[in-house]
Amino acid sequence: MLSLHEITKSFSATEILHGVSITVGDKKIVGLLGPNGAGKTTIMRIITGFLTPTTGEVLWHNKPIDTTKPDYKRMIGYLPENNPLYGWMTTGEYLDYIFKLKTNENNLGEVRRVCEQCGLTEVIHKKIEILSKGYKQRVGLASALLGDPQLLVLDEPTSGLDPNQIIEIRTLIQKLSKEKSVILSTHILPEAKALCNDLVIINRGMIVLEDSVAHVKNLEKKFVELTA
Amino acid sequence: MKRIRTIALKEVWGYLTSPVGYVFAGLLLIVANWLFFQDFFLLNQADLTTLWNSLGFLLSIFIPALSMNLISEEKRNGNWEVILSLPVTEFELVIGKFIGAFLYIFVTLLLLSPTVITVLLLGKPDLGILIGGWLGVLGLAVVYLAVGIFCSSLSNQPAVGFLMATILLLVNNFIGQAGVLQRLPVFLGTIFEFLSITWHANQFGLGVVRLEDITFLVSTTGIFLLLTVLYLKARNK
Repeated sequence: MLSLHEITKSFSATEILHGVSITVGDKKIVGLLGPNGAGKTTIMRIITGFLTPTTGEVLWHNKPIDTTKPDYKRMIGYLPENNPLYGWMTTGEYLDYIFKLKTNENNLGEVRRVCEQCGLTEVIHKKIEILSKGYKQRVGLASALLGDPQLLVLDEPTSGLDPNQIIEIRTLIQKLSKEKSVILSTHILPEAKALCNDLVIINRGMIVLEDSVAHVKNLEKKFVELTA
Repeated sequence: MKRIRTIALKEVWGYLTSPVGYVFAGLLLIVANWLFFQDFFLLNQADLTTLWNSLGFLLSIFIPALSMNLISEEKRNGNWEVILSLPVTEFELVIGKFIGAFLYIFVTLLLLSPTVITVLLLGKPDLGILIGGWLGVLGLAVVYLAVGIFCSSLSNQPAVGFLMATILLLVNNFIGQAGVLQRLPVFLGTIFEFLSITWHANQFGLGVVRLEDITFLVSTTGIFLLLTVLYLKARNK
């Protein structure tokens, strides 16, 4: 569905990504693993069109695509690492705002749909700032689902959540992956094993492993070997 | 265009639902009225020049305070990453925020109407000068806001944007004062006159609406907004 082909990314004279190639299959969950500063977030930002690659190309169904174009951006749903939200808005207002920016349309039905999908109906009129971290994460996920995107890009979606909230979010992601492709970054190796179909390990801006979960034996040991 | 409207309305809604919006408006109105009325009855003249002049000074502090969060806060908490991963361009984001903040300032300045009405009831001010002064303040607010947004985009820290914009605008205000210009050599005075936003805006207050002043205010606003858009786009560099 989506492929990155020989992507490099430089800021000033520093190259952050060195020829990264990744494929995200249709209705698959791809886990992006790597130590801090490896380049995971940069890859995600390139996929979402927030950053453009210095060289290389992004392919959508094997055809090169301009990731800055609105048509492409409408096919992507993004949940960044720190899940930024406007605390002073209610859940409904925030989702309505994001939906309008994404589609240029007014459709409260779509806001209700994602609220139901993410279990947010009971907090739709509550201010985001008073919600628990788990609910806030669901709001972020709901905003990524607006407009029914084909690919979800989730940057550490369970970071900072308690065990019950982690299970909730994981269950939701698994449910979503039946209809959409997902690329998620995580530090938690058991989470990657439990959730993902394919794994990509990145270290110092280079892909050091890309394989299906079934083929990767003893992930913890392999991760340490490849990223030490 | 719809996205610009959506962003602008969100900004206005943000000011109306936060205490900061009311504190800003309240303080501006109290200080402006206090400065105006302290000499008004002593001078015994139905003239609003003092109000427009004091607003020119006050806005060079209040507008940076209002605009400091517009971009820097979005950058600091990561919201700009979400918004720019949507089909929203940097241009739409900047213009939407600019229009939203301007609408809020416009409404705040409209709240000075009771002061203007009081002066109209007490005497017979020159309506041309009154309307010109009002237009000058609006023009000043527009340019100051563009400068404030640009400074806000330069850093993730709102305080940095506030300080930069305030210093820039206060210096600009200072070099446009008649007292300063009179003390300068003619050549330097002409340059300072041309560069001062306040000086161009003050021309409206004299009842003179000149194309060169309008062009200056519009082009300066455009330049600062364009610089903001270009700076946001430079995140890829």
